Amino acid sequence: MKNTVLAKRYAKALFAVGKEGNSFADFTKTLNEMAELFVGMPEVADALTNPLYPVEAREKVMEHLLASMQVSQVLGNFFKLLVQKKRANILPAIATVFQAMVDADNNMCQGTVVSAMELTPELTAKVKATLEKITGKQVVLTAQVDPSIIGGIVAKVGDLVLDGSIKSQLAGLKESIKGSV
Amino acid sequence: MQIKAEEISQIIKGQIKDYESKVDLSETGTVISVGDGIARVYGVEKCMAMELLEFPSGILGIALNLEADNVGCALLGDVRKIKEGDTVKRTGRIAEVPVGPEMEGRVVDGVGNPIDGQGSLNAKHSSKIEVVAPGVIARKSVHEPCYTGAKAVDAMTPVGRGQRELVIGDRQIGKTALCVDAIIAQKYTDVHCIYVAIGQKKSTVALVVEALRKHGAMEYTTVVAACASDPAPMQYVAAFAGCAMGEYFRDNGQHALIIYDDLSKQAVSYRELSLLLRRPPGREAYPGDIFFNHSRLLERSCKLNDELGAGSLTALPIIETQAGDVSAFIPTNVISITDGQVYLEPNLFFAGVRPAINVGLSVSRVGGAAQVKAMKQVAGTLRLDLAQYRELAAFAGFGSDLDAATQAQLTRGARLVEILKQPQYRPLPMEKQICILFAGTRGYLDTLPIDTLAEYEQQLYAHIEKNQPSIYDDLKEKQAIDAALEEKIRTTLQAFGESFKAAKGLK
Repeated sequence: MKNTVLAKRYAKALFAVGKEGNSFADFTKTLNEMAELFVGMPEVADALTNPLYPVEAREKVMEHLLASMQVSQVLGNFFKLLVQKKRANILPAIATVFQAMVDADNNMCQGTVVSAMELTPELTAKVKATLEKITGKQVVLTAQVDPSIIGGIVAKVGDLVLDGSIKSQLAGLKESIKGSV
Repeated sequence: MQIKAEEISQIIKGQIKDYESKVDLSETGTVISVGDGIARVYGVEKCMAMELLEFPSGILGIALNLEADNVGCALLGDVRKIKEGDTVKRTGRIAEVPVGPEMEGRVVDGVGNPIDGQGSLNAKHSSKIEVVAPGVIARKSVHEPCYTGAKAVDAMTPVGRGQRELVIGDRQIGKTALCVDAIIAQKYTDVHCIYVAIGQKKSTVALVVEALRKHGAMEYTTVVAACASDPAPMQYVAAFAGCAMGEYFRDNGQHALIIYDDLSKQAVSYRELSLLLRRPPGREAYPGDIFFNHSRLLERSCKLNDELGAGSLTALPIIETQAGDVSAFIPTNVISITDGQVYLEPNLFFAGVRPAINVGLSVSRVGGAAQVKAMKQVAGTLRLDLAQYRELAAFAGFGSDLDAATQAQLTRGARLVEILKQPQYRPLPMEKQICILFAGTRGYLDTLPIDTLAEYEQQLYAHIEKNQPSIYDDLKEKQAIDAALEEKIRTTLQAFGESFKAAKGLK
């Protein structure tokens, strides 16, 4: 189960600190890098969260990590606190929540668009404009390619999904035939 | 029915041609955890309470708990097909069921899908399963009778249209039988019936449906069946779904009778649901709002005022007690909500008094308002007579020297108990009930041996039908016994009594 309540608490605190120092861009970048590291290299995550190692050892690992990444003072303290409080495991969740908070503050949101083939820049711009019209916010779009949807596009912003793919239309057609015969 | 392959491909061709390709805009979430008929969903931020959520492979769920970071959701279908991480779609619809005249004669599950194998319902209307009950202004007091066809109930604990009369008793003593008879009794009236089976064996439900069909009662009856093998949310929702179907008739100026068989199982399934949703348990581990669960359901049964069409929804909820314990949590709750109760007792049942109604503990708070004048005239003293009889019978067991007055009271009482017995699936119309009760309370049976009374009753009905059918017509029309009618009934009973005795060789 996702521990969003905890992640929200920590992200909120960090957000308040970031707002004072006006250092959102730096925070988001480092947090996302850290989260990627967690997901991409399980050994790192293990070294920071495994209760088999004493807390002091884990804190040392974090300190080395921070030194090599050249993290700002405030954020460094935040990471150390997480390890100390045995909450390093929710780092990726904090990164997501923090990103959402910063986006909400800037009236922006993250979106993804999935298509069967790579989209041309004009098409991407069009999708972006449409999504911005629906949500009323600036949309930062990431494009993905997934041949399994056959054709059309699937656009996602937060909980909202615009599904115009051939795959889901075929599924709908199948249901409608099943339902009436 | 034969379908040619050619026809099928034609149909499919038409379907494909007419299929509109729409871009599907939906709000989604993901399943965090699933099990025991409950799913927790992350996302679906704008989800409403009681909204239907669509899971993959078309399974629906009802959003019951809206929390800060997730939505607790009761699944109305097979849990095994749902995995962690599945996408959940909002439908934007509050849970609803099909309603209307098309539902009659059908057997549906707890959410209104047909399960009788007779094709789709083609219902034109649908209605939300959770509706707030009509307010004070929209109502009118209960004033017309809704006959159950059981002499003991119609005479002593009358049920009016729009009343809620609880049927309570241990297992296997005829609660369902009484209610099924009440449905069969509506055959020649304008009352539509709904039978909600909650948490029962499929075989039992099949038997009830079969009995209703055999007696021609299925034409005006809808059976909502959430059986023991259905998930708990389905059993919980079935009562409300059935109620929504009954409300359609009520709101269209018609009359309906709904039977909840039984509400103790519905309470148990709601307890299961609530505990799985981690709502705090209270007495007997039932959630805090178990009373509200039953009160809001039963409050929807009512009589509407004339401006709203004067429709009514009568409810006969059933509660099963454990070893006659009416002071358990759920029985006391439902007793306090309903407008009276019919209490069935094992002792009476095994003594051969069937229906096994305990006259002393059964009451109807609507009372005489739900009886026609003629019934009040014959049954007015019945309850008192029976109470005195019971007291005397207990007392008379000690000695044999009894004065004539006591002796007479005992004879009368024993005969009244006898004529209140009634075989299953044989509900009686009001006019017949009045004739036999008239004979009983006016002393026409006092000289007959008790074991001939069942025969006497059957022959009396046939006799009146043959020789004096105007008695039935007058009763139906006037609904009261005036001097002339009383005289006519008296002479008929006198004449029939003599011929019956002669035929039996009695003095």
